[in-house]
Amino acid sequence: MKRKLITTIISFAAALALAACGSGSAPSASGTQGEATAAEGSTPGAAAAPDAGASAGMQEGGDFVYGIATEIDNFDPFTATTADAKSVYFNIYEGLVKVSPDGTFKGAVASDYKISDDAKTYTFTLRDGVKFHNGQEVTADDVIYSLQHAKDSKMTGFDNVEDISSKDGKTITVTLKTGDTDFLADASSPIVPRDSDNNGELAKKPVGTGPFMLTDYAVQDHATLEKFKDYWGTPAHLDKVTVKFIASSSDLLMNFQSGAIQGFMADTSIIQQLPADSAVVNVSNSNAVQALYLNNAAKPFDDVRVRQAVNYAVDADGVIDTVDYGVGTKLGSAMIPNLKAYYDDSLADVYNVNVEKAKELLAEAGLADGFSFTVKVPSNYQVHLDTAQVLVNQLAAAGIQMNIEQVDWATWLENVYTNRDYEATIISVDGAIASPTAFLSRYQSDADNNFVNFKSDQFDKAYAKAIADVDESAREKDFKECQKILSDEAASAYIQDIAYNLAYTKDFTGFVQYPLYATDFSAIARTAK
Amino acid sequence: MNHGKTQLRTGLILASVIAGLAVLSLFWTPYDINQMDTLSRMQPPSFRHLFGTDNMGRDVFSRAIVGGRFTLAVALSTVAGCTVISSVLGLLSGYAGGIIDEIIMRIVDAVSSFPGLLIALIIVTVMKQGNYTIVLALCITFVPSFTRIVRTGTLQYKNADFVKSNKVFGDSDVRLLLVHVLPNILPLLLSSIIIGLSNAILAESGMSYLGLGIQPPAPSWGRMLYESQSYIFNAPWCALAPGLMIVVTIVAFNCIGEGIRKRYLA
Repeated sequence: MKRKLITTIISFAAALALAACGSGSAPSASGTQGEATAAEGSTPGAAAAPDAGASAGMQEGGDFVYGIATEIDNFDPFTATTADAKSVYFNIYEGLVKVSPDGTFKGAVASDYKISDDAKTYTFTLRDGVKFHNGQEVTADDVIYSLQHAKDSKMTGFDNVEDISSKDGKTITVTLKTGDTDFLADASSPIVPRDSDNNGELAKKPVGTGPFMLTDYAVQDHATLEKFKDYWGTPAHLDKVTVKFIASSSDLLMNFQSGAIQGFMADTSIIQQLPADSAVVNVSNSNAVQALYLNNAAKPFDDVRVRQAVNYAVDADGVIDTVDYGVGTKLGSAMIPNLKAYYDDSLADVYNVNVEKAKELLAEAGLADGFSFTVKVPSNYQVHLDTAQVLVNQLAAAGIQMNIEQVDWATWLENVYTNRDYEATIISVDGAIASPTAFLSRYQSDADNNFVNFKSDQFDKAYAKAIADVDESAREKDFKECQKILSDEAASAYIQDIAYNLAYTKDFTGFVQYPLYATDFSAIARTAK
Repeated sequence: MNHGKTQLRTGLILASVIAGLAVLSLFWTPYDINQMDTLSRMQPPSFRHLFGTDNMGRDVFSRAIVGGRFTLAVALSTVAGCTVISSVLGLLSGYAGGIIDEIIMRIVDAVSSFPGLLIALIIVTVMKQGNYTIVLALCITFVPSFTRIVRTGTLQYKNADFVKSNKVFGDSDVRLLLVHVLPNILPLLLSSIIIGLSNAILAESGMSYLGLGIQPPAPSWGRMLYESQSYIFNAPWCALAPGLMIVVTIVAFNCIGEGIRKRYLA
C-alpha cells in the first residue's frame, strides 16, 4: 500500500542523482567535445572493450534483465523528458552521427560529414543500406523530416538552424544562422521515418535505426528490446534485453540481490550495500552539477557577500565523504569535468571551507547574527536529502540555519524550477546535450531556464563572446571565463558531479561508458563459459 | 480475571519508559542527533552506540529517543485536537438532532468514506508542509470515528432522568451538555482516545515514511524507518530501533486502553 502510494503519488525517480530537469526537456542525445574521463575507483575487471566486435570471452545470444528506477514516460525521442528514458532509447534511435565512448562523434545514419570553416554549413553523406526497424531504407526525405521535427520540437541547438536541404538525395546540408561548432552534438538527434511522428505516434511505437527494437511494453512494469537483425553496424550480442521499472533504488538493490534483475545503476550509498564480489561495478560521473542552488533574487541571497559566505561554509568534500562514501568529483562552478577542454578544475578550490571568512562576510552584509532560510529538496532523490542533512550541520557552524522542506518531484518542477518560488534547493542539473552551452546558457540574465535568477552583465557579455567564437582555443578560454564569473559571483554553492555506478552480475561483460547518461545494450554480451 | 489490572499495569510501565526516554531526550542524549561521523557509520549495536549507528554515522539510540518526542508530540496533539473538535460536533449533533444532526453526520460520513491516509496526503499536499499541517491532517482523518462515539453517547444520555431533571431546574443547554452529558461519555471516549493515540503514531510514521511528515534532519520514527530501508540487510538495527519503539508504544497504549475498558467500563 505504502509502496503503491509512493509510486503513484511521487513519481519515484529514486535516489539516482540525475536531475531529469535538464534545460526544460530537450531530449537530444549528447556527447562531449573532450575525452571521456575514466572515473576514479573502477572495480578491477570492469574495464570494457569499446569496440563491439566479438571479443574474446564473449558469447553470442542470450537475455539480459536490466532494472531502472524511473518509469519511462514515453518512447518519443522528441518529447521524452526523463533521463532514464533517454538512456534506453539510446539503443533504439540513432542520429546522423552518434557519440562514441571517447566523447567524439562518429557517423551513424550518415557515413561522413563535413563542416565548413565558419561552422555555418554542415554537410552529411547518407550511409548506404541503413534500414529502419520497419524494414524501409532511410532516405534523405526521412532525414529532412527528422531534423525539421527536431527543430519544431525545440530541441537544443536547433533554434539556430536556418535551412535543411538535400540536392541529390544522398547528401543533406544543414545551414545555421550563426556559426556553431557544437552543432555536431545536436546532429545526434534521432532519425525517424518520414511523417512517423506527426502526432507523437512514436511515443507508443518507436521506429528507429538502432541495434535494438522495442517489441513489448507494459506500463509501469517492463519494456522488451529485441536485437534488430538488419542493423547497419555491428549487430548486438544479446538477443533480448528486458528493462524492468522498479520503484526505488533500494528496491533495485533487493531485486539485484534476489537475481530478478542482472544489472542496474545507482548511487554510491546503495552500491556500498552490495556484498563484496557479488557484482562488477563500473564507476563513472553522472555528468550533472549538484549544488545548493541559491535563488539570487530572494533575500538575503541577492547580496553576493551572503552567497559567498554560504560557499565558504559549505564543505563539498564533507558532503562527498558522508553522503557518497568519498566517491564523486568536487566542483566549483557549473561545468562538468568530462567536458575536459572547457572545464576549469582550479575553481573547485576557490571556496575552501573557511567558517571565519563566512562569518566576516555575513557581518559585512549586516547579518552578523546569521540568518535562516528554507531549502526545498525533491523527496524522490535520497542523495539530495542526505546532502541537505549534511549541509544543515555545515551551515550551522557559520551561524546559518537551514530548514529542510521536502517537496515531491512534480511540485519541485512547478514551484522551484518553473515558478522560481524558493530560497534555495539542492539538485543535480544535467546538460540536455553535453556541450558547455548546455551547462552555462542558463546563467544568462534573461534565460528561460535561469531558475537561480542569476544576473550579471559581465557574464552575459562573456557568454555572448564565447558562443560566437569559431576558434576552438578562444572558445575554451571564454567558456572558462564564464565559469570564473559564476564562481566569483557565487551564483550558487556548487558541490559535486555525483558518481554513478553501474552494477551487473559476472555473467555479463562488455559494458561501455559514454560521456552521457546512456546504457549501450549492444556492447553487452554474456560471458563465455 | 483480574479485570484488566495486569494489562493496565503493563501498559503504564511501558508507556512511562517510552515517555521517560522522550522527556530525557529534552535534556540529554548520548550523542548529538545530527552529529555525523563517516568513520563510524553503520556500526552494530554496542555499549558505545546502544542501537548502533546509521549510514551517516549518527547514533541511532539518540535519534530514536528524540524521534519518539516528535512522534509522540504529533500523536498527542492530534488526539487532543481531535477530541475537542469531535466533542463539539458530537454533542451538537446528538443533542440538537434534526437537520443539524443530518448535516454534521453526512459530512462525517463523507470524510470517513475516504481512506484516512489519502485524506491526510491530500491535505499535506495542498497546504504548506510543516509539523502543524501533519497534526491538522491526521486530526481531520480521526474526527469521524470520535464524533460518532460522542454522538451515540449524547443520544443515550440526553433523555436520561438526571439530565431531564436538571433541565427542569433551568440549566442552560450548554451547561447540560458540558456538566452532565459529557462527563458520562468520557469513559466511553477514553478507550477510543488511547486506541487513537496508537493509530496516530502509526499514521505519523506512515506519513513520515512517505516523506510528508516531520522534515529532516529532525528524526521521527517513521522517517528513520524510511531512511533505513536501503540499508536493511547491512544495518538492520537502523530499522529495528524505531520499529521496536513503535511496537512498544503501541502495545503500551493498547494495554492501557484495554485495561481501562475492562476495569472501569465492563
